[in-house]
Amino acid sequence: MTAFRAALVEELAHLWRDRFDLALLTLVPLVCLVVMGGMMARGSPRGLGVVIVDQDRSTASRAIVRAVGSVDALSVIDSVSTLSEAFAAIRRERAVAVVVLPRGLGSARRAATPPTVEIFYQTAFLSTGALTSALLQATITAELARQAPSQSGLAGVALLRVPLPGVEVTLLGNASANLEWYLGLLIGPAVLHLLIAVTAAASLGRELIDGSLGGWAARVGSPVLAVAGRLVPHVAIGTAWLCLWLVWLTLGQGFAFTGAIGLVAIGGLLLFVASAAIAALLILLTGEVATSLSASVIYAGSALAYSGASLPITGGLAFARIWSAILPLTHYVTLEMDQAIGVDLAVWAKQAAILLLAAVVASGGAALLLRRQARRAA
Amino acid sequence: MTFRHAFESALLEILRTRDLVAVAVVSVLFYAFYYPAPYAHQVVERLPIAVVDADRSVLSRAIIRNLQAAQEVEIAADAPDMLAARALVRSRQVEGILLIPHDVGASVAKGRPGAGIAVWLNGAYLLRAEAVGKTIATAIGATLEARTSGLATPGLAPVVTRPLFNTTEGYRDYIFPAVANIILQQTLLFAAARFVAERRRTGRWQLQRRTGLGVWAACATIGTLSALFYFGLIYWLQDIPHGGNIPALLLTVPLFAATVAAAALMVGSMVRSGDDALKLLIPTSIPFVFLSGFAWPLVAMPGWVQAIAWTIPATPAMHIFIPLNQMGASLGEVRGALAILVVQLAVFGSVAGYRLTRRARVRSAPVGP
Repeated sequence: MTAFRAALVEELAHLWRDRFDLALLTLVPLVCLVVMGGMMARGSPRGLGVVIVDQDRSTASRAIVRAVGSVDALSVIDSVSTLSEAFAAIRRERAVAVVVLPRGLGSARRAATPPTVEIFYQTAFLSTGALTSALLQATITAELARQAPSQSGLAGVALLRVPLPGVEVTLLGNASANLEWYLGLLIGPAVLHLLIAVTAAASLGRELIDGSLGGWAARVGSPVLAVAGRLVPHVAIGTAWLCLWLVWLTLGQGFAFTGAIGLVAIGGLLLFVASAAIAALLILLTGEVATSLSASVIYAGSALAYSGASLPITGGLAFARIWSAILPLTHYVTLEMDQAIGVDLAVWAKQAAILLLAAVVASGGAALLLRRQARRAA
Repeated sequence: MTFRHAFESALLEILRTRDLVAVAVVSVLFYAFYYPAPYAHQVVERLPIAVVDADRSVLSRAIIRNLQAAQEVEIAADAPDMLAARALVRSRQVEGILLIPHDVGASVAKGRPGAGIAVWLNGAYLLRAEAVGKTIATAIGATLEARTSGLATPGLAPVVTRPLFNTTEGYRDYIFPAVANIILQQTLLFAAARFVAERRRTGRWQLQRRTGLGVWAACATIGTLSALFYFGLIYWLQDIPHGGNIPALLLTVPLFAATVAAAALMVGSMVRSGDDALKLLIPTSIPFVFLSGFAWPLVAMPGWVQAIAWTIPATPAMHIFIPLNQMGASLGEVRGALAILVVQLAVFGSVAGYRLTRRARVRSAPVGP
């Protein structure tokens, strides 16, 4: 174990001496996580701009405008007379949606075919647009139903996040449909995954001489143990930051895993072990820090896109499905989201085993290359 | 060294140095296809759900039949009761449950909202849960409406939603144009900051102002060509909403590239080596994506976070290029973001110019590892 311990001590001493490398593992994640946490700390988005085109100007239409204005997340920013003015507000990004209250709305109950209330919403920023349109639809439907008390069946329509004709939708693991909980579970791990991929590769990269770790491997004796010792601080620091992030989300912001947070932390540890092993493999394969770092951005920087967390990868291109299944972050995210809703232990174990397998395969490959480079150098 | 000489030599060095061309050119080409790939299918497809049909009537079968026709969901299991359905969720064989209660027909006749039908969805994946919830609701709504036509809601004004710009509500058309700005910014930042830092580390950085301007112009040229390649060819090839206001794009793209190049020169003047530039800049990629406000809207961020977000070139870029490309906005409609980009250019340019031409500072700068 001396090679392991010597490498560990040497890396810690280096981090102590080199304030830049130390900052990458301390200040950089601190700033990234504080800014990301601060970004979402208000809970669900608020102040989503709505422009009203009120063609009716009746008691009924004014009641709808009041109802929209009373929703926390929405803010009526303007009332204009034409659609083109309203759309300009969307293009200027002052508004997310436009509500058109048609002529005859107030006397709709007497009409054979009542006029249609239209909600135009921008979808270039889909998450904001979809949220706004869903809130508007629910609010306006409820207000219209309230105005028609004779329709007792609909008078009781609850203000649902996803507006349904009364069908009750329950979101498991995220009952309040909270965007902060959803994004928080994705952003923190993705940021740290990329960070540790970078610092681990850069750390080993310091020992490259003419594109080879052979010289260093020959010097340290047991190179595989030395690599492990070298990368342990990165894995430990990554895991510690992830745990802090999970504590912030749960204890700080009040969200809860239906499953066990400890199982998520173990998954995080496995993710960082896999990240470090892949970093070692990349350094040994490329023999260059810059190329290894570029490869890290490609695999870890875009891993969230391939994790299927926003759009499920089923039904996607074959390449995307295969690559998604290979990337460790996919399995970490699955494992974490599974704990959000609470799943059987066997389901957790499967994802954990895949993460472990990724770590074993990458470190096996790295060990083979390292031994070969050491032999050549000797 | 003349401006032209500095410009040409920087351009050639970036194109001839393997790790610079890899980031500045090859990565840009690569990401144009790699990043949109997982979103190519655009919408949720075949999400497995379990059905608990406690009614087993003509109506309940009609609801299930209608649901089967929706491409977003797939009826993966017919569970005998809620206990069995919940077990399927716990073992992750299904993503949701649809419960049709006993005597649903009577509830419909009474006009009970939703007729007691209930849906449980895996809300951990919020975005897809909302999309699927909407689909299921529409399918059920359509079935119930067909059954109750004549009875239901006479005189109640219907409320319809109409998506603007990305009318299919496709994920690729939403995510890629937003992330493209980050890809363009980060690839140029990585390459240009590394280039400057390496020239300084190896003592090849010259202190004349025109050399600095030449390097800056070379980097801005590469950035401009990359952005035009994305907005012109790639958006067209991938059929992403594009070309809303081409004259305004031709005006704003060089401004964005010049701002990013100035920021890169600034970072390059502050780090010890090209590797350090990459180590510092790469981990910022994911926070920068989210700070630009594509998933969590900028207006909903606290003031101090917004202030940080607006110091990143990709933030104004996103709020210029998405309106120009996707929404067909006019230059006047994006003037706020445009003004911020100009301020950024002035600040980054001044700091970079000051640091890179100051003699004493460069002499005493650490030479790196």
